[in-house]
Amino acid sequence: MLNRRDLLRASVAAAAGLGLASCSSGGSGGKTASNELTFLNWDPIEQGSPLATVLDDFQKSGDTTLKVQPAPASDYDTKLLTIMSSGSVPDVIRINDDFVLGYSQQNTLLDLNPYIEKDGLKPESFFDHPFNFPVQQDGKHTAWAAGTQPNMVFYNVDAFKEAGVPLPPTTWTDEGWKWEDFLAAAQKLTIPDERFGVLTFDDTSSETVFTVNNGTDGIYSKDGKRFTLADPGSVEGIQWIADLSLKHKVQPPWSTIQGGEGNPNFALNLFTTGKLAMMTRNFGSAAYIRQNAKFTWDIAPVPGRLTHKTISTLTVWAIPAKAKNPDRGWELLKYFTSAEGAATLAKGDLIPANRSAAEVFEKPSGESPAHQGLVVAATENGVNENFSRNIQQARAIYRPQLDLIYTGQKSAADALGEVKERVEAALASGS
Amino acid sequence: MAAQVASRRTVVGWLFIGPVIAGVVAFQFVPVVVSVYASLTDWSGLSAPRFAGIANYLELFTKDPLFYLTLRNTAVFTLGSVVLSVGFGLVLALLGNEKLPGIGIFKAAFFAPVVTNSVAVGFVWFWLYQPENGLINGFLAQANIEGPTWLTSNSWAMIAVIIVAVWQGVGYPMLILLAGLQSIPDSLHEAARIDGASAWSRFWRVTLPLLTPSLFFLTIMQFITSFQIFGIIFVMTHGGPANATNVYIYQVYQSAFSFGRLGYAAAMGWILFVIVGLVTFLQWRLEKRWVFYGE
Repeated sequence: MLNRRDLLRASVAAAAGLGLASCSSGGSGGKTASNELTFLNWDPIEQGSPLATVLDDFQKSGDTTLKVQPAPASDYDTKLLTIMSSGSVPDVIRINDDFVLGYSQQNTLLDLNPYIEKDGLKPESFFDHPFNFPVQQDGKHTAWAAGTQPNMVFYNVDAFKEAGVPLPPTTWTDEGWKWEDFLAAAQKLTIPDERFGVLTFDDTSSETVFTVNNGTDGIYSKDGKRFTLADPGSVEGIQWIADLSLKHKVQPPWSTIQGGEGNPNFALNLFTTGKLAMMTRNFGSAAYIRQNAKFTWDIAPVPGRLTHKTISTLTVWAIPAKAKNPDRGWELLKYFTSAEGAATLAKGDLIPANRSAAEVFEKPSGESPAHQGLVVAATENGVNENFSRNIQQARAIYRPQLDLIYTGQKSAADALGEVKERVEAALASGS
Repeated sequence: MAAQVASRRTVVGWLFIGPVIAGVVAFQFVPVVVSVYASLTDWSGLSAPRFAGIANYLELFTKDPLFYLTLRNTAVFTLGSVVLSVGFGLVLALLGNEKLPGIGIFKAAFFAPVVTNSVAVGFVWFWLYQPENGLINGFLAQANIEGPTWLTSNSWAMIAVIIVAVWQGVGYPMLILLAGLQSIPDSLHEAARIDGASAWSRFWRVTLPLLTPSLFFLTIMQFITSFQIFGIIFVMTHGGPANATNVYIYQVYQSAFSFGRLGYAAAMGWILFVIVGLVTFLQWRLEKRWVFYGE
């Protein structure tokens, strides 16, 4: 018969046993098998998707076992920060290109230079922009861009033909495709209460595209210290895209776009249902449009003005400095940009970072978009937002001002001018 | 022998409450102490905290305009939501106190949103507020009224958020006040009726004074929870447009997890603690002036 003392002894022993068991379990913070590679991704990896395929192929090509740690995209940055703070980090992380600089400056990402040198990878084999983006001022190469998705103009070819509007250029040129030409096309394509000619300001990339092409550094100076969005050229660019709605009525009102924000693919739906004739969007949108548009569509360069560049959104991975298995982590990163890996990822409309693999985009497929090869030229002319460690603070100050500009409550000059000092103070803080 | 038994009982007692004490220390006491220290540091979460003294507090009070803006927005939200939810809660409690058929369903319907997740509530109302094809503007259009762009208008967004918070939370004051109403003896109403008091007079002179303890409890609780509004804002507006709905806790979240300033966010948390403490203290001090316990 179990008496009270025996029961207590048993309870203490059981508790101790549980404690020991939990210490030796293979949880995320525990010891991992030597051939296991953990990585954090911001979306579930769906069976059959290009990323799932490339991961399967990678595992088949060696003895590495992948352990994916998915996190919801909407809350990914919070989870990443928490995990990186905890010290128990995955071997490979997907990282928003916005944050590479900040994480690098805090020495939390591994320098990949020794691996790049050991494997003899040559910078000239890659597009300049994706290869050089992760290189920090001190020369450390702290992340790896698997590919890029440049911002393009997606347009409804049928609408252009019906309206008798000349089609945009099919090569990377702004000849006949300056802002004025873009606006003129949008005006002819707009049918009141039926179709808007263009949508550009819902995509934050416009803050860079329409300022860089007006001769400025974009949102921030190249050293990330000045708020160049408040410079005259940038102010003119932002006011110009606001006026597409406010003055020319060729773009949906800001309230409509904001109201639809919670609806997944709201803006893309406007395009695929024929309510928009043109939209600026990164090439990653091609898959959705390909599936849903019932008309002929194509892509064109963004319009130029003083220069002719486009923003290029990078797909970036990194190895945390405290990763337990960095060598295998590098093998995976390298595989992403190998001929096989890059070809697979390209099926998801990711322009591979290495030039040879990107050739697949130059071959006509017979389907929309007919001029898919333009994305390669766009990558050659791609720029990035000039980042700062305190990018999120700066955005939190200036982005609410855009609401005022896009709804016509303030001019771009007034709205951006009044927060210039605060943004620059935020950029300078902690640096 | 008796001493031995007592000693053994003491040990057993400690063994039983030990895990609870350990839990309180680990998950409440330690985080509180850590957050005090964190508020005095420059800490991104990625590198080691660097002691900064009261720099975070100074920055909040002297350099951060969003600190005052979010405090003001929180105050507007708190006043609006507390007054409306307690007011409507009282009306619903009075209706719910009537012995009518189906009254249970009525009470359940108003209480259901209280136990519904704020994120789900936010999503549903987000759709209802859609300017062009939302249900609310659809109804207004039937009456030839052009509805506002609820969540994207600087002047309407906070009102829209308050409406959702009141809709979601009104069941709680209803329940508390209903309990308060049911604790008032019928004999008091009966006596007033015999003395010729009208229905309004009975409510004003009998019901309301005897409900003041419940109202006091409610206002304290509602103030505290309203100061901490987050879920609805996070889902519906992200603090926009143009910071019109940017409230204090949302800014704490932004500071910690978007800006990587955990020390700064901790300082914000302590300031909120002090504010809530002061408001609650003030409410207790004013209690004697309006709360009637029936002595």
